[in-house]
Amino acid sequence: MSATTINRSDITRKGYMKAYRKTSRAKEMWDVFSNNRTALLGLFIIVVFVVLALFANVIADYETVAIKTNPIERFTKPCAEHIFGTDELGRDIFARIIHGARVSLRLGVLSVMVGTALSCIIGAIAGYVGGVVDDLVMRAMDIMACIPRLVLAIAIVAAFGSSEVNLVVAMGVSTVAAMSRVVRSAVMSVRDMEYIEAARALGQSTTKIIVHHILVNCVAPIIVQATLAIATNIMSISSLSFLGMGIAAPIPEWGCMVAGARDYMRQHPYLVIAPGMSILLSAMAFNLVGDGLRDALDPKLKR
Amino acid sequence: MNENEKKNPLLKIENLHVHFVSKAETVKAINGLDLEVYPGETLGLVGETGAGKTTTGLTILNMVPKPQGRIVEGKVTLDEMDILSKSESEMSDIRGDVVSMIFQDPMTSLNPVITVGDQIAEVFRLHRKIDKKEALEQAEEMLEMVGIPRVRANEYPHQFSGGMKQRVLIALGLACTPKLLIADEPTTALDVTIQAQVLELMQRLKKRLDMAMLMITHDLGIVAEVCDRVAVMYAGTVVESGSLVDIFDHKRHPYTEGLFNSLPNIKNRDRDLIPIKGQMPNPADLPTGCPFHPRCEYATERCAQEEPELHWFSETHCAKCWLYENLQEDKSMLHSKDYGESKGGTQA
Amino acid sequence: MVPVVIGVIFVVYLIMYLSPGDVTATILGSNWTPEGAEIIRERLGLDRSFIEQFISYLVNFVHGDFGISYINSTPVIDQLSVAFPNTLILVIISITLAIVLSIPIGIRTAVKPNSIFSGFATVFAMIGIAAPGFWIALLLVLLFSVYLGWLPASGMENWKSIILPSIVLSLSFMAGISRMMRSSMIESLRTDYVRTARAKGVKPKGITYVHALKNALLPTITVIGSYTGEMLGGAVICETVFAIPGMGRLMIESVLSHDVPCVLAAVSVMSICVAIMSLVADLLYAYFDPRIKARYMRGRVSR
Repeated sequence: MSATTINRSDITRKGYMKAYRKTSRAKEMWDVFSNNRTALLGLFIIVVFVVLALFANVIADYETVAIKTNPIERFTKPCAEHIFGTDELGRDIFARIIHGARVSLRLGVLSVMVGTALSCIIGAIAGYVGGVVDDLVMRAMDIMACIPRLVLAIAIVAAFGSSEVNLVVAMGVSTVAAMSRVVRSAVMSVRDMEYIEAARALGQSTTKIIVHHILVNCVAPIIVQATLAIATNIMSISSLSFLGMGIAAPIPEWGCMVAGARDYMRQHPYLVIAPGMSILLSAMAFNLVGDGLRDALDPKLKR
Repeated sequence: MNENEKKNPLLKIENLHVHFVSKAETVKAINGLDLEVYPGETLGLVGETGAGKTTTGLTILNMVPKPQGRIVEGKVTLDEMDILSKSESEMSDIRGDVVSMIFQDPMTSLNPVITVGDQIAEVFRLHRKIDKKEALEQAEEMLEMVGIPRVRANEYPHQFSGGMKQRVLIALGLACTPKLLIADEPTTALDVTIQAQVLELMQRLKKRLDMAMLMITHDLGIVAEVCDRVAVMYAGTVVESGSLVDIFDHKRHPYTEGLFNSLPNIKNRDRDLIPIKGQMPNPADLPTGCPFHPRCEYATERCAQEEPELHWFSETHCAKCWLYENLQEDKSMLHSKDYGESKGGTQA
Repeated sequence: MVPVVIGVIFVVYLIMYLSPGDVTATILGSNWTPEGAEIIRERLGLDRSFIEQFISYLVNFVHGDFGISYINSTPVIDQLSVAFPNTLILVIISITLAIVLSIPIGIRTAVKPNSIFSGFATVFAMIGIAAPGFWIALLLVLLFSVYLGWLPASGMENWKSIILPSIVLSLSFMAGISRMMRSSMIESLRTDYVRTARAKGVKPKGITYVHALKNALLPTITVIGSYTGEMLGGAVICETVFAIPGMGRLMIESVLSHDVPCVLAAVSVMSICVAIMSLVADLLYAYFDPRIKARYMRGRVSR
C-alpha cells in the first residue's frame, strides 16, 4: 500500500515538474503579454493584415482589379461595391490596400531580417571579442548613427537604383547602427557568465559559442528590437515610395498611393485616408506588440 | 522608566492595519500593531526582514506608498496630532519638523544632482522660512555637527563615501530638531567600523537635542547599545515589548527566544546555534491564530485558531502569547532557562 | 568629433563612388561623346584612385568647396547656403515646439497616471509615433489650407507658412519625448531620494519639479539629442510636401537628377549636424549631471 502511495506521489511530482518546466517561461510570457490589452490589439491588427495579405488574390485579383485601369469608374466615392472607393484610374482602393499590405509586410519584415542578421554579426563580434575590435566597430556604428536613417536609405537608393532588393538592403543597413548596439550589450551581459566559461573550457570554437550559447540567450532583446524596427521600416519604405524613390507605380504600395492621391485630394479627400490609415495601423500594431513583448520578456522593465 | 509613565506618549500607534493591495493578492504588512514612544527615549523596533518595520516607519510619516498601500484601520497620534487624518500638504509641514526619518540605504537616498548643502538647507527653508543664504549657513553648521567640514557643502553626493552620506542624512533628519527621529536600519549598508561611528554620533546628537528615537533594526547588538526599550515585531504585529532588561534577560515570547538563540554568543562558543525552524509566513497568506504558531515549539491547538491577547508581566513588559494565559497552573511549558529568573517580575 | 565627421563623409562618398551610373552621361546628356566624356573625367579627377579622390574631396570640403553641380554648373555651396537656413529654422522651431509641449505632458502623465489627460496623452503618443509624416502633412493641408484656408499649403514666404511644417515635424517627436519623459519621471518618482525629500517635508510640487524633474531630464536630453537625425529625415519629407526650399528638398531633387556632388554635400552636411547635436546633448547631459561633469573636468572623457 505504501509502495503505491510513493509511486503516485512520484508520478504527480514528475508531472508537476514537467508541466512546471514547460509552462515556466513561454507560458509566463504569454500570460504577461495576453494581460496587456494594447499588445493584444496590436497582435490582432497584425493578424488581420497578414490574413488579408495572404488571401489578397482570393479577395481581389491583382491583375484585373488592383492594377488594371478602369476609366469609367474613376473617383467613385466609398460605397458598398468599393468600400474605400476608387482612385484616379478607377482602381478599387480596397484591393490596392490589401495588395499593398503584401508589399509593406514583405519589405518591412525582409529588411528587418537583413538588418538583424547584419547586426547580430557585427554586435556579436564586437561584444564577444571586445578590446580594439569592439572600439573600432562601435566607432564605425557611431559614424553610421550620424547619418539620418531616411537620408542614408535615400542615398543608397540614389546610388544603386530603387529596386526592391536595393530598398530592402537600404532599409536593413539603416537599422544596423541602432540594433547592433542592442545585440552588443546583450552579448556583453551574457559573455562572462559561467556557462560560457564552461563551454570555452570544453574547447568549443568561438563561432559555435557565439551562435549556440550567446546569441540564443540574447534572443529576447533582439526580438523586441526587431519588432519595433518593422514598424519603423514600414513607415520608412512608404516614405521613400511617397518621395518617388521606393516602390513605383503601378505597384500598389501605400506610400505610393498617397503620393498618387495627392494631386486629386482637394476634390477627393477620401483618396488619402485609406492608405495613410493602413500605414498608421500597421506601424502602430508592430509598435504595440514590440512594447508588449518587451514587458513580457523583461520583467524588470515592467511597470 | 517611571518618569516616562507620567508623561504622555509622544507617539502612539493603536491597532494599526496596513495592507498592500494588488490585482493578484493582498499583502497584509501590518496587522494590529500597537506602539508607544515616550519623549526622550529610544525604542528599538526589532524583527526579521519583512516583518513590517519599514512600513511602520512610513505610516508614522503618513507615507505609505499609494495607491497599493492602504491603511485599513488604526490610529497614529504624534505629538497630539492625528497623523492619518492630515492632508498631504499638512503632512509636509510635519515631516522634517516634528518627525523625520533616516532611511536604510545612504547610497541612493540623496539626490545626485543637488549639492549636499542645498539638500540640507532645503529643510530649513521649508520649515523655518528663512532665506537661502541663511539656510545654507545653518546647513553648513549641521554638517559640522555630524563631523563633515563645512567647505564640503557645495559638493555632490557622489563625492562622499557611504558613511559620509549617512552622516549627511542624519544632518538632514536632525536639521529642524524633530521631536521624533525614525532611523530605519541606519547602519545596515555600512562597514562595521563606520557603523560604530554613526551609532555613536546618533546617540550623542539624540541626547544633545533631547529627542525621542525609533530605531528600526534587525541587529540585537545595536539594540543593546542604543535603546531604552525594545519592541519585537513579527508578521506585522508587536509580539513582545519591554525594557532592555526585560527583553534581554527575561524574554517571554517564543519568537524572541528564537531570535536570541539564533545569535552566536562569544562567551559560550560551544553552544549550538538554534535557528528558528521554517520561514516568515507569506504576508499575503498569513496563518490563522497566532502568526508564529507554525514555527513555534510550544504551539497548541489553540494557537492555530485564536489570535493571542496581550499579556502583561510587569508595568513595562508584555507579550502576545497564549503560553502565559494560565501562567500559574502551567509554568513548566516554557523551557527557557531565563524563566526562573524572571519569576519575580511576573508576580508584580 | 573630427574623426566622426571624416568617417561620415567617407561613408557617403563611398556609397556614391560605388554607384554604377556614369556621371559623364548625366553631365553631357545628349551631347555625350567618348572624347567629351574623357575630358570630363579628367577634369573631375575620376581617373585617379579612390583614396586620392576622397582625400582631395575632403580637403576641398574642409575649405568649404563642395564641388560644382553637375546639373546647373554652379558651386554646390551656393545652393547649400540658400537651403541650409530654411531647414535650420524649420528644425529649430520643431524641436522647440516638441520640447516645450512634450515635457509638461510627460510630467503630468507621470504624476497622475490614471487621469483622463494621461489616457489621451497615451493614445496620442501611440498614434503620433506610428503616423507617417507625409500623410499627417497632407491631412493638415486639407484641413487648414483647403477647407479653412487659414494657412498656406506650401512655400516659405512668411511666418504662417512655417506653422504647418513645424507641427508635422514635431508631432512624432512630441510623442517620443513625452513617452520618454513620462517613464523617466515615473522612475525618478520612485527613487529613494524622492522618498527622502518627502520625509523632510518637501511639498508635492517641489518633489515633482525640483527633486524628480532634475533627474528625469537626463535621459530625456539623450533622447532629444538622438532624435536630431530622425528630425532631419523628417525634414526631407516635410520640405517635399510643403515645397520648402531646404536641404531635404535639395537632396531629393539632386537624387532625382543624379547630381552627385549635391547629394554628397547635402547628406554630409546633415550628418555633421547630427554629430554636432549629439555632442551638444552630451555636453548638456554633463552640465546637468554632476557625476559626469566631474569626469569631464578631470579630462577623463576623450570623446
